[in-house]
Amino acid sequence: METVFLYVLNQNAAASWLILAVVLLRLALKKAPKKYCCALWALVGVRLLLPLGLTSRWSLLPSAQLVSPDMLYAKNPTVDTGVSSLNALVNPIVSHSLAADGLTSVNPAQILSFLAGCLWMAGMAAMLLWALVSCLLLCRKTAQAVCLRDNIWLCDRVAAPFIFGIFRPRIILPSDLPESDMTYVLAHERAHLQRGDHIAKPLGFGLLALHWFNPLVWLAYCLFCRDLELSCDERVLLDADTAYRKSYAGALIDCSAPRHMSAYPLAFGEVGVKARVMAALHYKKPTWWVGASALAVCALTAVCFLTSPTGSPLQDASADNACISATVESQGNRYDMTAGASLEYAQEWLSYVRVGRAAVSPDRSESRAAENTLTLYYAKGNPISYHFNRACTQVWVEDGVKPTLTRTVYNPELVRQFFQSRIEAPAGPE
Amino acid sequence: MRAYQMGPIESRFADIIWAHEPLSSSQLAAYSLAELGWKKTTSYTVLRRLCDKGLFQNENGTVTSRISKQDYAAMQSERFVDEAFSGSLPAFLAAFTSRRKLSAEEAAQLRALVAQYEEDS
Repeated sequence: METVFLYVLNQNAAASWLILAVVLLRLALKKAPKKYCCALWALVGVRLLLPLGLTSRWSLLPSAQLVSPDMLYAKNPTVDTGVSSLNALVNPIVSHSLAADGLTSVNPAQILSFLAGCLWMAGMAAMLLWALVSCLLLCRKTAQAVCLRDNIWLCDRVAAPFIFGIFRPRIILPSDLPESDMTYVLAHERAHLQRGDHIAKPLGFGLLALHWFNPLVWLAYCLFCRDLELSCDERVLLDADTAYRKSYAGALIDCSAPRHMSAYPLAFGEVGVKARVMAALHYKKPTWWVGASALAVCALTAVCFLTSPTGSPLQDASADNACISATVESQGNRYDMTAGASLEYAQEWLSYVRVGRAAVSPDRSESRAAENTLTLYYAKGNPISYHFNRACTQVWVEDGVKPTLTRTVYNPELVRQFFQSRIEAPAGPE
Repeated sequence: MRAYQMGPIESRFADIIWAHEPLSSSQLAAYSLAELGWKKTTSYTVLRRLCDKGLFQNENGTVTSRISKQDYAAMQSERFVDEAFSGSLPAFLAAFTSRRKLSAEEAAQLRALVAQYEEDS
């Protein structure tokens, strides 16, 4: 269960950056059709749910993984938010309170993640239970509805028109809905059905239940609901004349229901009535290039935020200086390499190691973890030592001038393999 | 006693009872299915609610009304005049006729009504 919770936490952290970006982009896209905002929210949904192990150079995410599973078993656990100042703020507290003391068989980090995981599941269960109860109550009410025609039903004691059901959706109208408003209400609800919003909104709520602990996700859900309604209005009013718009706005005002956020799924007059009335009355068809640039923005956002960062290389490409020998120290074993195939292999391997941009902590001391070390000796200048921790998830470099800050390794498997192979075959290819 | 105000759909259900009373609850369910498309459970739920509000009663499976349709309509109109015109019938008529004039026939009917009720009280 902790692995699932850590996965959700990492997706959440990545998605938070995307949500902040989308909130800003929405302001920029005010003039564009709202369906592009809905597309952006769809990207957020994807980011919140799917793993997408894609990496790219254009990723704007600061960190590939907030909490790595190795963190649970580390001696001094740390997280990598991707921002050095945030790391400097958070990691001292994290390391200090979750330091493994070696006395107990289970790390504090494991205990904490287990408890957090339980809390997360409890919250998610509470939300899903609430949704289930609301659904059952609505079921009871709509059982007393009477069919008007097709999938349109009239119901007493219902505050606003809404859509009920996912597989066989029904449009539920209040029985006292004025005849004059009916055409507009029906047009709107039919547009929702055509766009598949009756599936999208519950899906969004499901993601909200999964990520309930992050207030940004709540913000995203609220804005998503608003954009959904505005986009639906746009679709209905696409080719409508002024008279139709005025009557539509009138129907919106007539049906403004009290503010229950999710009490009625896809309710007509529920969300942001004022904004919708203004939008309906002042609609001006945007020029073609507004739509095109909005589409470009969406595509760009997808590339920048749905991919993870590849990280920067560990070693500077200073190939001037010839490397004459190297030493590998791992778990108390030592292996020397002199010029030859193994030395070239070591240098080549080093060029594949990728690290995060942000420093994990502001610590520059030389007493940091260094269970696995590769030292390269050069013809000119000081030897350079690359110190990795036992799990090979973090690295700091000592070049005789000033030790670097600790950074997260993005491909620890590669590093582990290297040290493993050196120690297992000390003779090595020459 | 203030009568419970029924919604349009509940009123259709009540009309079924008023039209066919006394009738058994299963017959009522059959009528509801035919006219409103309701399942048995739904009919019984609504019936129970209306009985709780004092409009109908269900004794040993037989459904009868406790208020006649006319009385119910009278209570509704009373309530409307109370709420909208503070109980003043003249005010209601003034508002009603401000938008359209009374026809000769309507005026005659009103005069007959007033005469009848003046006599009674």
